[in-house]
Amino acid sequence: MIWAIVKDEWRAVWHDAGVALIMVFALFIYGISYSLGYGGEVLDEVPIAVVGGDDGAKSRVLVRMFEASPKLSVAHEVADMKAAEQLLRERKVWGVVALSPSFDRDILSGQQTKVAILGDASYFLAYREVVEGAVATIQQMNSEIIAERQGAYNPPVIYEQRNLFNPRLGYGVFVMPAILLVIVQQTALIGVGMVSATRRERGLRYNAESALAVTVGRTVAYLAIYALTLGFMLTVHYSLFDYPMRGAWWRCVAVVTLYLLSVILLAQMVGAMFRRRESPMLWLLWLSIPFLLVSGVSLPPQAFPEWLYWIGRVVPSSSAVEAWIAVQSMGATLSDVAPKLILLAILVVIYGAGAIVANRRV
Amino acid sequence: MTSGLFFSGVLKSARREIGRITASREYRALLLWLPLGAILFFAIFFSQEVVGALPVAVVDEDNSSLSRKLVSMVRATPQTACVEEVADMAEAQQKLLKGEVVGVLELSEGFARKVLSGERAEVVYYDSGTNISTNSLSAKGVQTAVSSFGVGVALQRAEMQGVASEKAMAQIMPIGFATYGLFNPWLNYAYYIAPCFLAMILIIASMLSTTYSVGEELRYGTSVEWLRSANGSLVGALMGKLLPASLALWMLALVVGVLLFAIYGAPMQGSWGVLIAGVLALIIAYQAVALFVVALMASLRLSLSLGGGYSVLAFTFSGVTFPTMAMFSVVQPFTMLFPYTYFMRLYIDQAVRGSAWWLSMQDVAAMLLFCLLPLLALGRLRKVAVTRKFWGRL
Repeated sequence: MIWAIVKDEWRAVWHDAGVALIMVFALFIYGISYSLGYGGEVLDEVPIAVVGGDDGAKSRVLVRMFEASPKLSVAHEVADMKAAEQLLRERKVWGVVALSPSFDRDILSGQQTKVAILGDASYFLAYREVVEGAVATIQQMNSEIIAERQGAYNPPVIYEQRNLFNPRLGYGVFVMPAILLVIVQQTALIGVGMVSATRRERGLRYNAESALAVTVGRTVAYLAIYALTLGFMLTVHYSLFDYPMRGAWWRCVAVVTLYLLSVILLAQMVGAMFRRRESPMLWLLWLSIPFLLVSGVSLPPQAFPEWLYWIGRVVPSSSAVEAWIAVQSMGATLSDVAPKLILLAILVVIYGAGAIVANRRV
Repeated sequence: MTSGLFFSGVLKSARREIGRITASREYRALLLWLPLGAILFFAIFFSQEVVGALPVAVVDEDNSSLSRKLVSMVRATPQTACVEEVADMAEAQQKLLKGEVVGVLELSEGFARKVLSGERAEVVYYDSGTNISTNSLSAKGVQTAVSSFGVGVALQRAEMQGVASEKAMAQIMPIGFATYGLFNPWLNYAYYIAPCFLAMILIIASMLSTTYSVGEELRYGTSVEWLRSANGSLVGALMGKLLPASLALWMLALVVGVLLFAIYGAPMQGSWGVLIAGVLALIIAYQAVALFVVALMASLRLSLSLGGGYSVLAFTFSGVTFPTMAMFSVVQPFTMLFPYTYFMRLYIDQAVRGSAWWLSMQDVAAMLLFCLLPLLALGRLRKVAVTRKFWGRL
């Protein structure tokens, strides 16, 4: 009997181009589009302009060092700040390094010379690259100058930063695991909502004796679909784009299963609210960005009100995205993410009950 | 058709549309309640003025007065004021995996001895790398503390060698430097990112409301009645249909503007005229794209799916967070396919950078080019509107 519902549901998805597009293909279309968009991963060789200096040997060395820096590329050397500003406004450069007009003289006479690093803070990633690249280059040149003067030089401390699970600080590596899971949630909410609303519109009823059987049947049907599609994205797509895979397979399966269950049950609960099949898209598309934001994976939770972060926990993606990144990107164990998994399990119970109540009507 | 007949048609179509807006719960929601809800969400999300201190673990294996001095300096930065000392690296890593800390600062044994004797004293900061914004903030705090600690030590060394303090700085740092954030000197992340999200609200509302409005006529077979209301002119019928929504969305943009500039105090350095015109161009451009999609698909539901997807994709491909120049070169041209891309350039140029008004004219022009799209599909739209077989599709 449950098997009949499962097959019924698959037919509803597969024979309805609109639902199939959302529930089956959208994950591939969006997943691949976003991954391609972020595929460059890192920003390097950011064009900058150099201003000033006294055209002496030392300033030439510094300009060459900027050029050699992997983060920067000296696109223009200009006479004054006015010319540099023009280049910035035309988006030809993303930063300006201004050398003191007495650069070489200062260094030769043992005076401290000055350099201003001006990054374009209207684009944050470019700003960071310019500032980090320029500061590192100047520090390197400082060490060389001191070594020249004193014969040898050891800076008092050597600072090193290691990004353990994303060594190049790739943007896609950072954002795609979260985006993929949020897409799953969005497509499930909208897709299941469309199936529910279509049935309601057409007055169709499941041929089952209990709402529990309907809920189990529908859940199995959707779970199977997403096991295949998300399974593909988290294995083949993941490898193609070189996203980190540090989790043992069974840990990954555990996190994803709990997540899918809570999402699919929530979708059945929410889906019952729609009377017309176009409605789920109209009402739910708005939630994509808020869902991503309240999970706290794109901006840190410290950046927005704490109560909003905690309210956001009612959305399955919030805990799941954190758990998934910890397990698969960082190699955490299930006990490391236990609080998040417990929360997901609680959501499964609550939304499961909600889904059963909702399914009494269809 | 005389122009008088045409304009009376536009007016009638518009009056009919206003009736539809007020009668339909969904239509009202799309133009009013959903966008207002989204604006409220972002208003709350970005209501916190500063980012709270990020929790960082410190493993101080040296436990000397120098290492403790460095730890206290890390604690003194606004980004990493929340420092927790842990016993060893294993415990620190555990905390990192659990998400209790965002990074680990390691001061190995012999740190003070190495600093004092001039050996290589390494300070390593480990972060996960899986949250770039969190990582760069916390690393900034740690790095600032470590470098000022280094300068302090070097100054002391120089003084012990008998170098006069005014000369010491030139000796340990022959090239001094200062960093500045151009155009956004506050380096305020919300000023930069909130407008991007708020503009997304406008484009989602434009896209969905237009698709819904035209798509419903087809779904419920009222398209002939709609055309008739405009005295049979398709262009007139379209103008009448879209104008009320364009105006409603423009009003909505006003609410966004009040929130952004009056309440948040986001900078507005350029031309109000250009910005307001740009917002209108953005709204109309997305209405035009929606019209094009509905004409091609002739199905409300497929058009909603396609149009909805298209509007959300714009964020990634605009280059505002992940810059266009960092994208694959084959991907870069795709950034031009979204009116949002041009609008965000215009916004940054006018509001943030205060550039000359004419620098934004090409962006306005690019957005208006999208308005030509429905003209290509006018014939198809007429056919779809009057042919029974395209109606009632779900």
